[in-house]
Amino acid sequence: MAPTRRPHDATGDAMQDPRRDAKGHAGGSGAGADAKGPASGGGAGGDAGGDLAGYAGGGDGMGDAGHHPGKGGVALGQPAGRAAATADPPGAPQPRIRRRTPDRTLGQTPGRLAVRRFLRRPAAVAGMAVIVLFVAAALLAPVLAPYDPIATSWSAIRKAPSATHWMGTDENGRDVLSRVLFGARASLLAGVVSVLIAAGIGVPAGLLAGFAGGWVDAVLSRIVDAMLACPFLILAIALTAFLGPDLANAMIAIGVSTAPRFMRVARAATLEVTGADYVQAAWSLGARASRVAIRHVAPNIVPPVLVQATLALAAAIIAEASLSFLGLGQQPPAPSWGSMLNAAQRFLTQAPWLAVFPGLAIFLCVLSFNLVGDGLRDALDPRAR
Amino acid sequence: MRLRGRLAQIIPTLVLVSVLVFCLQQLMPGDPAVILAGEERGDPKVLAQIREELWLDRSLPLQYLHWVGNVARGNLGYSWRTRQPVSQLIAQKLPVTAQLGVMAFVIALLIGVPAGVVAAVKRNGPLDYIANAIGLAGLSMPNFWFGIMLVLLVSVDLGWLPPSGYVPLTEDVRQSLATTIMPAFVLGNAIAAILMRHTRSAMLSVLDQDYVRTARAKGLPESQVILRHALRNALIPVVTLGALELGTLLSGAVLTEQVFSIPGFGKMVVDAVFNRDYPVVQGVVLVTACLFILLNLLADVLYVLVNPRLRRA
Repeated sequence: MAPTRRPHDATGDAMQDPRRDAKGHAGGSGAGADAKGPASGGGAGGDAGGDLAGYAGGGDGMGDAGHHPGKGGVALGQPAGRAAATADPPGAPQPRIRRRTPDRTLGQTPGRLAVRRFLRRPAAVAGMAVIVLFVAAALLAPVLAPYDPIATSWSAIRKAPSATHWMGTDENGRDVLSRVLFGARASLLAGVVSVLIAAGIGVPAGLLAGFAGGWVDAVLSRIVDAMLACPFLILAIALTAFLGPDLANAMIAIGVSTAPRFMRVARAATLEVTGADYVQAAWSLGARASRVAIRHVAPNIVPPVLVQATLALAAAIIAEASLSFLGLGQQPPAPSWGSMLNAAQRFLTQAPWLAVFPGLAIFLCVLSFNLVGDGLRDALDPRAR
Repeated sequence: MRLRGRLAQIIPTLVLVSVLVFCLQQLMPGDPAVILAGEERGDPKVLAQIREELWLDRSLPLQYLHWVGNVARGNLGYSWRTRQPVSQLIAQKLPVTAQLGVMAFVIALLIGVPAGVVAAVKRNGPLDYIANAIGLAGLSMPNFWFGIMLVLLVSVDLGWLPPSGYVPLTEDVRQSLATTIMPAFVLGNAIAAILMRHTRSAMLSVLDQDYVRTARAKGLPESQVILRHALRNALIPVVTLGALELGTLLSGAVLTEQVFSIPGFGKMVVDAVFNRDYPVVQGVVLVTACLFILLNLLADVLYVLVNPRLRRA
């Protein structure tokens, strides 16, 4: 039999991760407020509740469109959930009825619909483009960089940006542009690897907790509570302190500190999916638990995990920069945006450009991942806006 | 009652936090006794004595019980560097970070809540987009970089405020505020962005409620409807969710204190990491986690107290 669960367990999830909550509920389905109260216990699945309904159901809120023909016209571009979740203020003009024949969505896979919704958000697409540029910069750094990023030059110490050095040179005469380009490698690598570590620990744990329920869930959830109680960066700092400061350990520390968030998301999504008809159907066909978990549940928790991964990438890049800034990440002379800022602080009056460019790179990179994450959330989860 | 359930939940969490912090110690490279012995590390007698003192010669569960028993009595161990009690070190530094944190939170409230209200009221309008864009930028900006840029502008270029340092409140209030206002602003900025998002979503849900419609129907001016009827109700989840940002605040404080050379909690951790002063690192993690759990509980209690609808439930 499929495991059942006390509803308030799930609401705890929605409550404990306020940042995700805020994004998830922006747009005001009111769940942000309700999720905290015991009265809302019925909404099992907390924040992932909406996450999957739109996706796994394959239906982009088209059910709503059926009931409210007036809003059906907005169903694709403006996710229907928005209209459904927040009633129009009284007296608001009814959206113009646009006839959109259903065959535009019929026969489309949910994935394809999500891609289409994603592409309709200019901010998300722009974010994606910037990420592609950063990845290209990281991969092609040896080709693109005009100078060797660690070659010092006594004749070019702390030179302001010019035609020969577009972003100037640092205190050892190294070209800042080249270092920023090579720095993208450390940042992106740290982001990707630590998110892989986090997902590798968190997703199986969340799947197990949500699927097995009972004491397994209770134990795993308490461990996650305990880990989340330690502020993220302080936990990461402590881990790097004990592991020893270098880039690899920083990645491990960030990954381990991020893992509980993945566990939360995967668990909530699993709870949501295990109640779905197709999972019940699999059970009733006599499928073994492992088969149900791997074949039926796991693929359907991918969307919320993907959203979490994108946002976690943004957080991991900031975290790596922070650790490197503190001297606990990438060790000199290898370039990293965070450690460049650390060095720049000593020459703020003489060479302000040293502080501008690496910081700008971090900001742009993180902003892009956040934009893509928000876009993905809206694309995969039309209801939570 | 729910609160009793929450209290019961906290105890295993606290125990697990202590296990987690204790496990950190096991990750440490090398033998603590050898590190502590310093010059005398060649002397097996000294090593044996240290091991016995710290219970390092016992089994891990016994070591844990010994350690957690001390912690429960307020003894977080001694700094390896200065030999001071860790609890005393933390007690010295905590007020500095607390001042910074409170100022940051006030700044965040002053920016985040009005911005969220405006964004919700002018939903989908230009102001909403601007508020959202600034909010997203605030969340994406590494706060140490923001701090550096602010120092560059305000201290280096304009010369208005000192770039670094700290004067305690008890010494000179004006100077103290002058040294902390910029770091507090940097620290508050990320939380302002989060509060803005919370406020916006809470306001949007409240603005649809019947009592808001009633207030409008009574002919109340719109400002009254929004401030007295809508905002008062929307603020309940905002303040409690905001209280949960303590973790963001403490993480941010580590970096901000580093940028502005403020001798607080965060700077102490970083210094401890470089000095390999592990007991201090452990103590800080433990204290921050406990603070977070307690504040979490307080936020829950507050939430029930200020929301009469939940008292019956």
